[in-house]
Amino acid sequence: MARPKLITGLLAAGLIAGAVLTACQQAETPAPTPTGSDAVAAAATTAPAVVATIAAPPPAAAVAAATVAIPDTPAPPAIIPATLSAITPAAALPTATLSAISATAAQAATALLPTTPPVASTTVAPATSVPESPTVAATPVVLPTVAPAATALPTATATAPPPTATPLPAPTATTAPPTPSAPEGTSVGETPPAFAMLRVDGSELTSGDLAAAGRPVFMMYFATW
Amino acid sequence: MQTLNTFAADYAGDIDFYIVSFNEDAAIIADYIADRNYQGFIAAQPVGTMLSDLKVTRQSTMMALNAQGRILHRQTSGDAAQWPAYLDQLSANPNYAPGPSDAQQQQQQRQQDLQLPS
Repeated sequence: MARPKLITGLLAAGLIAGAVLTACQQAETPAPTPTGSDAVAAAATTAPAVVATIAAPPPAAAVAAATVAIPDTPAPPAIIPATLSAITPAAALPTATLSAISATAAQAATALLPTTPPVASTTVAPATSVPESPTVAATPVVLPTVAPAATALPTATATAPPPTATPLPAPTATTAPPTPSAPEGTSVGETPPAFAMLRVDGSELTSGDLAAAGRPVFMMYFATW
Repeated sequence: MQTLNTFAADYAGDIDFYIVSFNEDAAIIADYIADRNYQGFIAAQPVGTMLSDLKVTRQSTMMALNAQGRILHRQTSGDAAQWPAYLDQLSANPNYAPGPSDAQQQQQQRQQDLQLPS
């Protein structure tokens, strides 16, 4: 009866020793490297925090609205894996990831929040239309400013003539006395309309020739019969 | 013309005297002047509508123009004895121009002349 107990004790001791040896071997060997799927699974737990930190920097109000709207809609779960797939391989390039995320966030904002853009457009439209009307009303005001410039010209011309007028009277006074121009007519004091006469030698004499000669003329209309 | 001949030669150096035919050739007027031995006149005939333009409707109409072509005196008919007074003005000042009163007075005289029978 003592041998069976001994054998049982040996077996138990051997099992214990084998278990300890196995444990020691497992402790000495290095830990297996995580696979890609493990990294994605591990990153999935930290992904919301990363998205939050990346989505915050864009200054656009639409991006902020998109980040706010994402939790309320069922679409975010579909967007988040896509962002995770973009973030994980490009972990060394945060700027590219930031632009990709901001683009997707902007698209999600425009798709999920259609009421927000009209409000922004309505606020922008009056802002552009209101300044235009004052500018249009201001442009006609420029015209009166041009008119004073035109009125200023006569003053300039009025100042200019005196030098030219002073030399002119001297030559005219030496050549001929100043006489006012007479209206055209056949009465005394008037200048008769242009006429022409034919002399005996066949030469024609016009009123212009008579005036150019500078001699007074006496004419008598006569008939021999 | 006989009266004109008495004083035309006195202004020959200052004023040109033209005898314009009323409806005849200038040669007929020249022969008329030569036959009577009038001095200091230049025979001419009108060209185109000169007579109607100047409103010359009667023969023996006389007209004086100053050096600038303005009408100094105009006489439709009658005696030419009053002309030396106007010719003296032109001889002294070729550019002499009549005043408004002279023009009005001569306008009234012209209306009276037009009412006379031809």
